Amino acid sequence: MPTDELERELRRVFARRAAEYQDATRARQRLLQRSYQPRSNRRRRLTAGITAIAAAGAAMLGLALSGALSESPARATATIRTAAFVLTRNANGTVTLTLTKGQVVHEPGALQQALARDGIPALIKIDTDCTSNPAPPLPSSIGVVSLHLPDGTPVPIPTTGEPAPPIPADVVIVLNPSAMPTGTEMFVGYRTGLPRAFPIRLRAFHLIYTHSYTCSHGFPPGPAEG
Amino acid sequence: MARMRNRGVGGDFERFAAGLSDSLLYTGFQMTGSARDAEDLVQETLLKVARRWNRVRLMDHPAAYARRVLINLILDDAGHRTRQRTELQPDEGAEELADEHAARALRQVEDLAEFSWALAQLPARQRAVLVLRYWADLPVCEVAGILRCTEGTVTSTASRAARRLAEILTHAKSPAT
Repeated sequence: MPTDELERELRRVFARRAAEYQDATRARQRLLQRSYQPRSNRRRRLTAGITAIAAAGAAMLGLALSGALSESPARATATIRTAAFVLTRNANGTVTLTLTKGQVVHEPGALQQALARDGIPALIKIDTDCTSNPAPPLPSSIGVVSLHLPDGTPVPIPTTGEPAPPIPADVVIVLNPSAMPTGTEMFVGYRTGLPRAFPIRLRAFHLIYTHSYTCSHGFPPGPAEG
Repeated sequence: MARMRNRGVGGDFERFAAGLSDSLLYTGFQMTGSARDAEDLVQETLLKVARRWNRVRLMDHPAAYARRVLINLILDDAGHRTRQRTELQPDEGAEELADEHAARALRQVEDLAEFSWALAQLPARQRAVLVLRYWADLPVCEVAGILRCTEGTVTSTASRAARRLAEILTHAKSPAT
């Protein structure tokens, strides 16, 4: 049996280490969102990434799912398809998001929860911009996100406060949740009321700190928006 | 609070999971040093408990059962690596540090990453004894039940593990080694 002094030091150092586990609350929320209904062929090593993160999206708002959120085994590819977007989880852990024909996302919670299913905490807003100060790194600079055309041509990512060219309607967005810095989430801002010719209404795509950001109505106009 | 969709296992399982998940998560984190691994392991633990919930809910200590599932998952995963590490240990016959020196080594821990690394060098069962005794604060008898060994084995393993941990920390600090 270790001495009292040694036991005291062990308890102290374990307590210090526990204080470094900062994501416990969100991990708990994700865990309690999952279905634990017994199934015969559950796979081992279900990743945190497949779990829904927010109770707010629990109703799912009538999503047409080709991979039902509560039923999908982890690490398998799965697709969520709605009128506004198609979200595919890839075998390598990345997630491919395709925005459909310039449709605005009428239900931000649906995309938010679909992203959460794939381990991407996100805040989706319409006509509202949210930023952190200081800002996290640009997601493209740390490999969190890349935009490209179906033929592989890179597409610049819109950033709050900077003029951005229109985003092509057939843009493909690839997200890598494992590259997201701890304590951040993806902010996705849509703009409504644009001319019909404007190809797509995605207006902001950047990281914010989950516990430190502010939001304001509207976006600065891009060069093509007049 | 988050709402669960557990049609087959019912509200009492939900309450059980909600009440125990923090403890399991922290135990998993202390054992693995990884938040993601901890979450995976707890999820797997809850799935296993849910499958047997009709029996588990009638146990005297369902929480102890869930902890045992969690620890067994970790030990199963670590089995291969632990055997490798045991074979690699060069100082099997070296004199162990006294408890006093071990306590001093722990007191001098400044960089928790160093402590995490040292903890990860221990065989998984030794690590489990330390985490269950000194983080989860479980009594020796309960640790013995989880690890399916005698109480004497728990206390002797705790001593050996603590001294070994201190030894690793001390050697890690030494510029000559």
